Amino acid sequence: MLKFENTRVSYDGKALALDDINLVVEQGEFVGIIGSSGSGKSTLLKTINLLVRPSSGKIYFDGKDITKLNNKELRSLRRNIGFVFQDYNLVDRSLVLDNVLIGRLGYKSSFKSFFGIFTDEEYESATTALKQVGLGEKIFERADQLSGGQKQRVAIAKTLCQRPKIILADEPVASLDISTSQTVMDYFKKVNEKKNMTILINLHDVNLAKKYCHRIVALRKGKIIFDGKAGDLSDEILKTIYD
Amino acid sequence: MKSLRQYMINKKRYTLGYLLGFILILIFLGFKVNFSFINLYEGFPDMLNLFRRMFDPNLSYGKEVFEKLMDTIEIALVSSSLGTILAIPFSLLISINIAPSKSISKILTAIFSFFRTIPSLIWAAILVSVFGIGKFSGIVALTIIAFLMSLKLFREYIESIRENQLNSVRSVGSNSVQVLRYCVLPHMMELSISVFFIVLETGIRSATILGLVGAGGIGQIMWRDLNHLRYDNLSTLILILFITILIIDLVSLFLRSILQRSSIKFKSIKSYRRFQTLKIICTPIALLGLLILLFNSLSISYDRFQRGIKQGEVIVKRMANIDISYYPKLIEGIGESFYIAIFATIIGSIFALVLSYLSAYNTAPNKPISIISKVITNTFRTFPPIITAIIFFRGIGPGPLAGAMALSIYTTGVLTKMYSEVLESAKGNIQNSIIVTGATNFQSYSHGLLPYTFPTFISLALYRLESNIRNSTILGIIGAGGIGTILSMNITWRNWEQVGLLLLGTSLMIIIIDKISDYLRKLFS
Repeated sequence: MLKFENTRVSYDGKALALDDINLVVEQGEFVGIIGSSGSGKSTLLKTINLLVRPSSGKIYFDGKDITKLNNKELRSLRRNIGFVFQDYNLVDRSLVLDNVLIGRLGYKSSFKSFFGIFTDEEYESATTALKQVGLGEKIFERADQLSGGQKQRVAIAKTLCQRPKIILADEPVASLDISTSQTVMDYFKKVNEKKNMTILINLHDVNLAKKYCHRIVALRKGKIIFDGKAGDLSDEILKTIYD
Repeated sequence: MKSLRQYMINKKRYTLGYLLGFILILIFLGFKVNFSFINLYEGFPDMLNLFRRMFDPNLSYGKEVFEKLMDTIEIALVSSSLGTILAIPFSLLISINIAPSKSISKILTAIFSFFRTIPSLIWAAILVSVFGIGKFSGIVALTIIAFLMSLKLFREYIESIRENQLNSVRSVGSNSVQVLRYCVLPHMMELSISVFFIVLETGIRSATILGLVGAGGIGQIMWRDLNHLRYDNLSTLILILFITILIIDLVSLFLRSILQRSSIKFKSIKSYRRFQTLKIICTPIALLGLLILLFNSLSISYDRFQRGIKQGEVIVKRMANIDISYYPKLIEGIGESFYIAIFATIIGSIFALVLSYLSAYNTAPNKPISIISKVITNTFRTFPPIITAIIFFRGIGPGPLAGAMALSIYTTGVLTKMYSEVLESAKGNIQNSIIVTGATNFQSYSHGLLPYTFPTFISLALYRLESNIRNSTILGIIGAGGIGTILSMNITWRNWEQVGLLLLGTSLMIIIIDKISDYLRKLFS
């Protein structure tokens, strides 16, 4: 469902953040992307919903080349792609419920969303999503009242509410402690297994990646240097990644 | 070992050099603002007398004052709310991270930063020539200032929203209107109320002096009393102003702290949705109602307004046609304003450094001293400097010294408050790490807290310099030195070509000082 073809990204026109990426991801895969900081993990994810534009090459999503989309098509592409950030990026002053409803914006007209008009189904799906991440109780709390792990779970609920075909998570547990990380990762796993959701997740913790992901892609200086089953990741390969 | 000795000798030399240079600068500045201990000493009893009279207010005078006071408060309230409301849409246009067009944002920013260099009293003086004497001119002048102030605050908030935060709303497929509504606006509502109060605190101070140029409010009778040498009435007025400003500051502080804590608790989706519908219906109605109310209180006939606009056109055209030959007066004027501002900033900073040590809870020798110095500094910053200058007139007569002293006192008050807050919010560890070596409380301040927070102090002092430069340009309106004197004269004489030059020169000076201060701030931080 997702295919990179000779994708290159450069921020300044000189150094390449992504160098000739070729990658195919199938429906229902749980892919962990590892690599040291600056290896291009974030850039890789951000090119998929075009928060970062590739300088050359193609990216296919559901068989369509997304690098050629116009603004309107881009927005409908983005609503099919859930994105979870490391720093949660909730709107702190809004309620948890409002934050989850943001997931529905891609489906709404400017007029309706400006006046905050949401349908019964949308409220229903927001509460269901919150219950799925175990935060049914926190629905009317303000987002800044939550702990880090809870905030990330709200971000996941927002993404679920969006009903995406794929979820991209950029270091979702990097700011969390070990046990909270496990909880958050468990929710990703649950979503992957129960809904057959495709998930691409950036992790700097190799052990977490080995534990949760079926497939691991390792990046170094913008290039893929390993792509295979989690079990095939040898210590020698790990050494080259982090050297 | 030699290098260490060298270091010690050099250190001594540098310290001595800095101290000497500093003293020389002070003497030079003191000379420039006609500083004289003898004058101050001789004038002191007269000023004390004025204060003594405050405790024996002329109560029969109260009624007339009360009416004008209500006018003043109305001007402040109306202009602050209008300015805040108008600033919201513009802030969306100029904040660089969400601006629909970068070039529009840049053009608007340039225009507004030029307007920001013109103090409220000058706006008022010009507007009085356009729309006539009365509170309309005052309201418009303060609305302009309130607008520019809130615009700056809103813009700072919006530009502090991280790119990732905006991206996270964009990444669900939302368009720019939706990003605004769900990422920027949620906090704007709450913020605008606290911005309103911040603006109001400045507004009430400015409103009290508008009358000096005939733009309504209590300043009008204050100016009359001053000219008639009715110091008994003047002391009553100043007392009433003091109490009013204090009350408004306290109410503002109280409401802002309540707002920060309050939030509505919902029980079910149903009650939440009902509240949302109510909000959507009520917000525009309330806003519209408020605007109608505000415009109603402007109290100007359409006829007069049109006449004013026509007159304004002529004035602007004449101002644009600046009279270059007038520049010697300009240089003389802005020079004096500049020296007054620098003098006040340095003197104010020195006193603030001492007073903030005494008033911060964590550094003061004991609690009573801290409370006493807090009361004193808060009194210092209550009055607009122009009113303090009037008090100095009583003692040392008009002139730059009165202005410089008044501005120094105001600077001391504001800077002490800000810096002692910085001291109080500093981590206890910094002090403790010095105290554990057996040092005294003062040593823990001078070797721990002070070096740690000094860059912040410098940056605060530079902000004060920027504000002082603006203030020093208006002191002259009542004859307390600086460019304000010739500026207000030329406005009264309708010499718009000269006014144009003076305004341009003043703006340039302020912009240059702002740039330098900005550069220095970055250097020190």
